[in-house]
Amino acid sequence: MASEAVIIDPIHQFEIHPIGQHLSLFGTDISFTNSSLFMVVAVAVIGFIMIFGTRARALVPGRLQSAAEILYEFVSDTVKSTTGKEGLKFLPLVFSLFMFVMVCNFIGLVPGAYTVTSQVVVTFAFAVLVMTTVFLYGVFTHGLHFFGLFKPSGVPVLLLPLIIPIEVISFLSRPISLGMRLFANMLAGHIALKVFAGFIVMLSAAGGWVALSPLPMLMIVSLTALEFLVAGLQAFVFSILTCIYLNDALHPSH
Amino acid sequence: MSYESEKKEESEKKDRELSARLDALKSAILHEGAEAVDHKTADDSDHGTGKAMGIGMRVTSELVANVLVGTLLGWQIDKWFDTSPIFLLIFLLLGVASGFWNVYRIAMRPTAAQKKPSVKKP
Repeated sequence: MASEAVIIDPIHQFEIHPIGQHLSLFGTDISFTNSSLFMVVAVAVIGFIMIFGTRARALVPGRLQSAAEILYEFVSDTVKSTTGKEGLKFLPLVFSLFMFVMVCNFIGLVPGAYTVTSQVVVTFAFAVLVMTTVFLYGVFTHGLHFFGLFKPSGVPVLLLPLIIPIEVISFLSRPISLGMRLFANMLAGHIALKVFAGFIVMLSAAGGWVALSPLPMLMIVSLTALEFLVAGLQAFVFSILTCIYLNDALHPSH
Repeated sequence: MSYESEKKEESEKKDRELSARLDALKSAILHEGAEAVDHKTADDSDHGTGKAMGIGMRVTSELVANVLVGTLLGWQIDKWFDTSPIFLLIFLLLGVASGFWNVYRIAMRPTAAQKKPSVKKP
């Protein structure tokens, strides 16, 4: 039994390795990696849906066109309902983020594909982009009034030394929670899938126990269904939180 | 005369056929409409579950992130001023407090939205 050492490494799927040769620019590694490849694939998929979907401009939309329209209307409704009409100028940002995150999540579910959003660097970069936008827009349009965000109205002066650090911490924690949630969900889901798949390998290596292998298989099937839900849901949560934070920049008074 | 009556009969028959078709279409539309309404309510309930799951994930990550940020801030301030572990402890507690404060705010949002908009958030 020990003759066959089965190495099951559920983390291996998240490894980044360059495709082709190493490239570097001013000492920074800018090689084209498997992660970059799947980012390009995601952009190509989004481009296909949006460009070919809206090309026909039919009054009665076909499948691709209605998919494109539903996605667009869904995001625009989310933006409108959380930030109001004036938030629509951020629709390009929110829509791009939503589409990219969602398509990356779904592509990651294809066996063998790489999940771009399982890298904390990627999700954290999105979160920092969102929070930088919120901060810069808030400061440029409202000036010092934007910092009223940290001082809720109707709080006694005595409590202010306590409330202001709390509000500052909760503002600073936004990009972290935004980036971490997406990354952690994708990472955990994919690791869980790999671990259960590993159980099947282990059981088949253990002789008669192979009869039990349909059990982890069932688990994989249901986890995959759950992962599809999570993939869509995380993109939705990411975009709705972006809207909520943008709402703070648009209307900073608490 | 007989030709006239025949024609009249024919047109009446056409009318009846037309109205029957109209009725059939109407009932079909009603049927379809009922089905569409059913779809809509099913979608809504699905959306509700998704929304609830989203809120649950938000609450979890909010709690963790606030504690993390508070701890890191306190740790960094301690490193700057060489006052370990005073600020670490203070900011850890502040982080926990802000985590719960944010969870409270998330939990209060739905009821606040149902009330009149003039009601101030706590």
